Amino acid sequence: MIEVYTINQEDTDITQSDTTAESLQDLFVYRVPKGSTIILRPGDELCFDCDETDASVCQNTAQVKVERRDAANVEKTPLLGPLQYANFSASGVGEFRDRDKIVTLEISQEIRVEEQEYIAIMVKNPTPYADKDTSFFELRTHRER
Amino acid sequence: MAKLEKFKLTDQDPNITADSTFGTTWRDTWKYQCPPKWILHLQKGQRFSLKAYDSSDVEYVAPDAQVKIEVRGPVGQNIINIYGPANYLSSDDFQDEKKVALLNLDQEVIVKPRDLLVFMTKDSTGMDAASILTSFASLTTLREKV
Repeated sequence: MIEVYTINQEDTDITQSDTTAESLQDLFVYRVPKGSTIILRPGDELCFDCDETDASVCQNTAQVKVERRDAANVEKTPLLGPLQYANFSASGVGEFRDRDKIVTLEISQEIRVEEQEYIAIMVKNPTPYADKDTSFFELRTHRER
Repeated sequence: MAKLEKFKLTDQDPNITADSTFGTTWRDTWKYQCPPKWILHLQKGQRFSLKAYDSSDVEYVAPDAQVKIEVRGPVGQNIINIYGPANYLSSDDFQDEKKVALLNLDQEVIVKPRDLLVFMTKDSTGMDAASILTSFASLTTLREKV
């Protein structure tokens, strides 16, 4: 059965990590649980609010990238970016409501992320780096189970 | 041909049961049981809004407040996810046409007589019976008499 599904930072299959250097690093990594497949489609939306470890919002020039990784973390498929954080926010606050301003994945055909594979949201922000506890996101997509 | 009529389901509907217990995990905040002789037709693009307050009477905030909607069989089986799990702020607008949350269904989901349509919330502070009374939700959909 294919159903709508939203992945967010509270999902039990998410690993969260603060970034620790000014390079693209994993902030949120979702591992597809056994028995499920995530079906990414053109038009799927990503909303993202990124904050720094000092509780301020990330800089507009921070870079955001999303990629799919196979179960061994070897093969990677770009899904979005790198693009500036300003694409996700107004004055640093992530946009989650206004459909005219929400970012969609940069894919031209359906991509299946199979069980035990990964979807990673990566951030490059200068110090103070990106904070896993105050940042949050939504990937509005579909799953098969 | 089925005759469909617009139906606005709110938390005040007589077929809604509101949660009356306190908790900080996923709660069945409002549980609608489709009455006999009616079917709901949930479709892509239908509008949904929810405003929620925690047990301290503070409105839910990101990032820990969550919302989802499920359709279940009469005893809770055959769960179909129709919204979320999403951050609370994605669905808290009741006014702005381009900000109100929409169901993003691929295909129509039917809620049959006695099936359950459940508005679920989760918040680290938690909801109690009093905060549920101050919270509210609506879903604009279609229904059919059978």
